[in-house]
Amino acid sequence: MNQRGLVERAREGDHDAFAVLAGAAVARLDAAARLILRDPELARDAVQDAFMRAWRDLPGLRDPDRFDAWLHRLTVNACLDAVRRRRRRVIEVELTPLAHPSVGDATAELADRELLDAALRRLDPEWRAIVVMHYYLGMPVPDVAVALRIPEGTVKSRLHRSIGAMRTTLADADQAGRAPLTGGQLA
Amino acid sequence: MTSFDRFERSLPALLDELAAPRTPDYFDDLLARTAATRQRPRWTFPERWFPMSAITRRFAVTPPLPWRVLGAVALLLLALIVGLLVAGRQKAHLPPPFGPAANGQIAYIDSGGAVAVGDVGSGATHIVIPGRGHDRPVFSADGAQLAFTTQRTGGGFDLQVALANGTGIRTLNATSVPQPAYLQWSPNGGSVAITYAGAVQLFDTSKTGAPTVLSAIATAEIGYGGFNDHVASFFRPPRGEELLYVRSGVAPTLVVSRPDGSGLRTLIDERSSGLGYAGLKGAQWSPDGAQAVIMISFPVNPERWHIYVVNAHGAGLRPLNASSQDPALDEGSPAWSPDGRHIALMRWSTHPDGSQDYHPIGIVDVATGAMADVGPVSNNGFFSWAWSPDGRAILEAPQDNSGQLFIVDIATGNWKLANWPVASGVTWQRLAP
Repeated sequence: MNQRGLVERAREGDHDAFAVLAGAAVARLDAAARLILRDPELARDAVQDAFMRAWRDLPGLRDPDRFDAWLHRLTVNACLDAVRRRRRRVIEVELTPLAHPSVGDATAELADRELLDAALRRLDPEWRAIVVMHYYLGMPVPDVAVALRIPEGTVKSRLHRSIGAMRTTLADADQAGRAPLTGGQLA
Repeated sequence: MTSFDRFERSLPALLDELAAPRTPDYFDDLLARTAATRQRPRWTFPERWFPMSAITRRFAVTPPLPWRVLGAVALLLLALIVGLLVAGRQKAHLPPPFGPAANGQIAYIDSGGAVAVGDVGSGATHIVIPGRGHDRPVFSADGAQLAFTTQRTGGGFDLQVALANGTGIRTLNATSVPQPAYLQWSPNGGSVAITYAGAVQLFDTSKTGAPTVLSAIATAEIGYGGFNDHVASFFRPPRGEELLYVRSGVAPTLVVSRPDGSGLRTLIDERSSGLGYAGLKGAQWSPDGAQAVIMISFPVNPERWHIYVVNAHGAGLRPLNASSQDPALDEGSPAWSPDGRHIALMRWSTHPDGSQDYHPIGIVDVATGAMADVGPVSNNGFFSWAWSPDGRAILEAPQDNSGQLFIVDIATGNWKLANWPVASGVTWQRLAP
């Protein structure tokens, strides 16, 4: 059965159909949540919250073909809710300060991931969410704008500035002696 | 190609490598939890009534054909002439834009997609704007005009206005618009506001053209999100010079500003409210502009909303009544009575096992918090309701595909039934007292 059929069945209360849909999506959404939140525990809570909402609110989904976009939106908003709750409790989990990995401490591949991780951590969570939605989940700019309820122009400018900030972080690391990311992206 | 471009192109692969997607170990537990959870009934979702596929669609950019412009200009001129003639005759008999007024007709979309009006006294109905694909009929504050949307054949929508009797139809947009999330007249009838993706756009009702985009309040959230929210006016009475909206973001705040963003002041924020809330929405001014009602959710269950009231300058934030603090209760879509003394709201209770109790519309005395239920209980709830302009009745449209309307007498609790083929939200026309 195709995805539309599964969504229609799940919308009518068929939990087995929902399990198939969830199984196909959960790995990528768990990864997206970890990218946005940079905290696996918070990411788990956000993904669980998103899927609980998805199951409960599925009868309200008018267009089955929008299931993926809708689920992406639920997950990202659950992530931003998690950030909001964390700030409200004043237990701000400070993002790990940028530490330039020293050459020779790890493999180049590991250092690449650490560099990208550091560049992501430097972004505000909401901006990080925009980067993840667009570049990782593949959501078009208009869908990102609708999901976050901000104008398309704001999404575009934040994407541009986020990429610029990440690239600057990586370039700084490069100047500090770290080789650029494999593939010559910073050339 | 610049290094910026190269980095941007390689970013998806880099993120994929960093994230290392895998089926998480909590997945089975997650499915066990969803299996034990009941789904919400369909009627509670605004998405069932407003197509998200249309809402999320880009603005169409098809250039208008010359004959269309000519036709629109001709229609505009005709409408202006008719409008001036009718306005000249009726000007002395129009009600003020806020407060109690006399009851007029009830506008709705019939089962065939036409705009129809009905008379509560006689029960008679007739179509004022024929055709299919119409939606969201909303009377202007003076009751003299109707705004509504019409679906275009090729996609997108037109925002149109007409006189209350259906004549003088004018299209306000030059290019198609998405289905708006919110549609409301300005108090003087000079513009119609719609929202789309957080952007507020004002269309001048005297011409066809591009809207004024209120970029200064670009992150505004207005109304409840499409469900019966035409009652949630964000124009501050009596002149509408100040707008009330939720400024979204990581920490939403309830703010007031002029349309250009000047005069910004905060009514509710996290720090000053001391509430530790999770979300705000559905703000609307009281008819005298002295207070505002707002829906607030809390971190313990951010999907359940509770009704609060705050003074126009931010002081006196308080729950509407005792049940507004009940965590098992979900309240929604508050509507001020025309005299501003009461608020009507929808609510339902959720038990620990997930089952729900449905309630009639509740009427709360704003001064005392006392609540009284009015009208029937519908197993599927009500998808639209509205105060009568004289404040003596409430119109309720049950969500059961019956097309019925209940007109409930507030004082006695008695109701009568109008068997009209209602397929949309309903609005009640205001007339001069």
